[in-house]
Amino acid sequence: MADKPNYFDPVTLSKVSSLQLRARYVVEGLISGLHTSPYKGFSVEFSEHRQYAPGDEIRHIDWKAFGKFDRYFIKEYEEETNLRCYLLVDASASMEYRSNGVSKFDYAACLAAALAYVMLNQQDLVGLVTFADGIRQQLPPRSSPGHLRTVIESLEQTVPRGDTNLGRTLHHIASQLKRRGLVIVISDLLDEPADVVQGLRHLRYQKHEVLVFHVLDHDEIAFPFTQLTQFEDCEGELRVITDPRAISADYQQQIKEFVEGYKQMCQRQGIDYTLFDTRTPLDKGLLKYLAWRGA
Amino acid sequence: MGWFAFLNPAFLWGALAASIPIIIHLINRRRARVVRFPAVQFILRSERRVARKYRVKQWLLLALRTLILFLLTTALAEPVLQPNVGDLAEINQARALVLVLDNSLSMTYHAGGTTAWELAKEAAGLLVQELRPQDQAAVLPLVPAEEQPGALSGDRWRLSEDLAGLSSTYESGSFVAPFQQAYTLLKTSDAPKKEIVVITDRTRTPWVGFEPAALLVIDPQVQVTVVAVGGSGARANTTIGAVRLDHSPVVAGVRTRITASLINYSATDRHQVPVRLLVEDRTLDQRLIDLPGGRTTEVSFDVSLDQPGSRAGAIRLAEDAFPVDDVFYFTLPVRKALRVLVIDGDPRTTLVASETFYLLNALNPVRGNRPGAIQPRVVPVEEAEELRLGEFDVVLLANVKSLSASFRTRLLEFANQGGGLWWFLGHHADPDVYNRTFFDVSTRLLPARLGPRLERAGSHPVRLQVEEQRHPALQSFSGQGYEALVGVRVRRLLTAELTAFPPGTRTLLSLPDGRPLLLEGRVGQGRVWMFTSTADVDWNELPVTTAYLPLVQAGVTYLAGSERSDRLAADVRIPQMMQILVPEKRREAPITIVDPGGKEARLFPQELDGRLEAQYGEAKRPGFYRLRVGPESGLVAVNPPLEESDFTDVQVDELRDKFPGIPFALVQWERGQPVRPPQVQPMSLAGWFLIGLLALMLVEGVFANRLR
Repeated sequence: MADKPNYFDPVTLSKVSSLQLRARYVVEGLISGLHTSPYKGFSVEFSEHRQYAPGDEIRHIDWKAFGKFDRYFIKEYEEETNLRCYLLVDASASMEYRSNGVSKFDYAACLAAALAYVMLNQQDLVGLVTFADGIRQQLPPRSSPGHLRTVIESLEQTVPRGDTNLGRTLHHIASQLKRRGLVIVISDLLDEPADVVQGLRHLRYQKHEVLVFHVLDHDEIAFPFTQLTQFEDCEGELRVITDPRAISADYQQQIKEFVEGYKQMCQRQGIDYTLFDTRTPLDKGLLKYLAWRGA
Repeated sequence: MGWFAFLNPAFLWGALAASIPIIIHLINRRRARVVRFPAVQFILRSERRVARKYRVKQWLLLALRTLILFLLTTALAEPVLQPNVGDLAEINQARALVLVLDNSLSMTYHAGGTTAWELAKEAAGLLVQELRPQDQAAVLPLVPAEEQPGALSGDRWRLSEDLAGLSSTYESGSFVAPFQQAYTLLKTSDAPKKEIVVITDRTRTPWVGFEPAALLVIDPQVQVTVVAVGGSGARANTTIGAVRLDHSPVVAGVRTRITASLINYSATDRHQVPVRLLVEDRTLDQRLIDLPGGRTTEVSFDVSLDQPGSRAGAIRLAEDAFPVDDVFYFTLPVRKALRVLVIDGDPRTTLVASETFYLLNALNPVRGNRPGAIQPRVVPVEEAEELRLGEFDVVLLANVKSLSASFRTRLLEFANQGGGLWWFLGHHADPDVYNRTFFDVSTRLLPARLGPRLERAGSHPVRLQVEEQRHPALQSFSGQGYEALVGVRVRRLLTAELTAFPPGTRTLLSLPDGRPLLLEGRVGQGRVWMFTSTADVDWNELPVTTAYLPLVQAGVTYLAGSERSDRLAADVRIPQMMQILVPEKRREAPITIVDPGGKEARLFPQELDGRLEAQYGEAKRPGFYRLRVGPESGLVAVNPPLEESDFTDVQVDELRDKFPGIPFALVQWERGQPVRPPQVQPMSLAGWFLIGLLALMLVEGVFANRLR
């Protein structure tokens, strides 16, 4: 009998073309291993009006408001839920890097989809923001079962490109979010750390709970290069020819300091920080979330 | 400060391999893979911080590797340090070398506990060892060996074998033939450097008559190097130049004198040098002789030998540094004394007035009772007829009037059996009686019919004609002796009828008008002489001239047949051919020759100018060679060539003059020194390069491991 594929393995999952299926494999695989269900009961109440966005169900359009303002407004019925979650997925060009068939963005998307799957199954509201040097796409938090499809389609259609400007994006998001919730930042954080820290601090200032899922490729951590190599920046014009053996130790030290810096800063701000190597099984992120949720 | 050079410069092309690490580095740099990487800012920062130091180390490693390859290739090119200034490019050129070894007798001269020949072989061995794989050589002896090399060879083992197979000889030699052969051999080689190395004791002898211009093949580009061994300057040597016998053959029982010429070739005198005479290895006499430097001194030994036959004689000097020539071998032929019956046809009461007075003095000039080589007995005719003629070798008839018929018959028998007759005429000799009783009869005893007596007017001497100058009995007359013989006054004689000469009769001496004075004829096996004048001074003055004694003695010896040597061959000096005369009766018999070492050789005679003769050219060592032809045997003494005893050095300028326009060098070699000048012995640096190479490889290994 053939072994059952390990659907937590990012490489194995990458062979599944549908992001939705991937998310489902991850979540179901994880849940089947848990003995208590993570899902809990929900209540629903009117929340606010907001502008119509593609994917919104037509039946939620407030026709009275349309008659008044001649614009589509969605009447949001927010379930009285435990959580309003914002998934901030980095879609800058640096996320496109892949060393083992799985790019950082694939990993981040899969992780985001799996989280959305779990949250939507709990009737939590899940919103999605993809960003690079600014917000590229934004889906408001929803809890409807069809929202998962919207989230996943949005992720699937996103192609990583452009520079990262995570600090500005976080500030922007923080100023947008009216109600506090959970903000999960999935990014390689390859931006000016001071700006990123400012952005995260802004979110915390808005009373949001923040989880940072720091996704790095295995190459970025281990730096396994041996030959003379010309490294070109994914997002800019920087290029350098070097013998990786010469700088390997120093590079790894820098990465270590870089990660440690974020880790300590997050700790200081009460932010839960987790580092993900793209070879790390995806269930780690879910478990991290569930652990947080359980707490 | 020396010059740096390479013996195999072709390997220097390999130094290009030193650029391989640089090329690999450049190729790797060009082929640097391009990676789009997110965290380039970290790389850039690391590059700025640590890569510079790393790059310096990399460059050092690259330099080390380049240096290693450079050292490897230069070590293969065999770097050398040339101590002297010279044409460094020539060091590595292939060389064709012909070694000419002087193996003549003079090379056996002892000095410093060794001989020049041993030193020469040692020096040649060093030169053979010096040969490199690209070199070729041949070894030629001065005196040709049985097998001469036909081509140059690069096989050092074979050359060493050739060298070991060479030995010194007892011969003399000339450098003409070896140089001819050397140039011919070198002509076959295309080596850029060619050389003839002559290893010799520098004696003058082999260079006498040597002129390169006279050689058929010569190459003025060929370097000629003369390596002198065995010291130089005056080398003392004394030798025996010759040995002379006062009489040969020696007469048994008669004291004879043996004179040896001793030569002192050095400039210093030698005093009280022992000189011994040996016969059959027994010392018969010994003298202590002073030998003045640069001169020849004679020493004589008077000896008496009892038994006839050939004796092995030797003169031996006290041994010096060149012992080979300190003994001189010679053969002593000994025969019994000649017994001569002198029949006096006109005896007188006083000896001086007697017909045979002069004859007796000429036959036995030795005073007293000492025996002479010729033992005459003078008797009147009557007494002679009572004697047994077989006891005598020759019968002289002086002015005999007549003889009885029975005595004539006995004389005829005597002559037929080989006895000699010598007629002297005089006033008792009546031509008619002589013709009737001694010529016109069956018992003919005269060589010619006699004619009338001839009276010559005047007292002036006439000049005689020697008709048979090569006659054995007349050969000894030369110079003053000849003048004494031919310038005599002949007042009276009996003529011989020229038209009535029987076969075999010939004139030996004659008057200017052709009338015979001395005739020779044959009677059976015997020889007959007739002197047509008197034996005393009655008719001529020959008995009072100095020619009389040798004429009488030579005549008697000839008539007795004793002038004919029973020796098969004369003594020789190396390298003369031994000419062996074989008696007619031994025509079919092989000649057996046993050399001093006991080695036997056989020859067969060939007819040459009516004589049976064989030539033996293998008498190559001094000593006695024993010859045997049927029952007859003999001795031949062989001595080394005299010129080899002269150790006068050939001068440097003299040698230089022999090679005009030819690169020439003279090297005086001593044991323990290199044969060649130091500039052709460059110091090899390959070993040091390899040590440096190993050290660098070690450093590179450690260094590369640290960088990894």
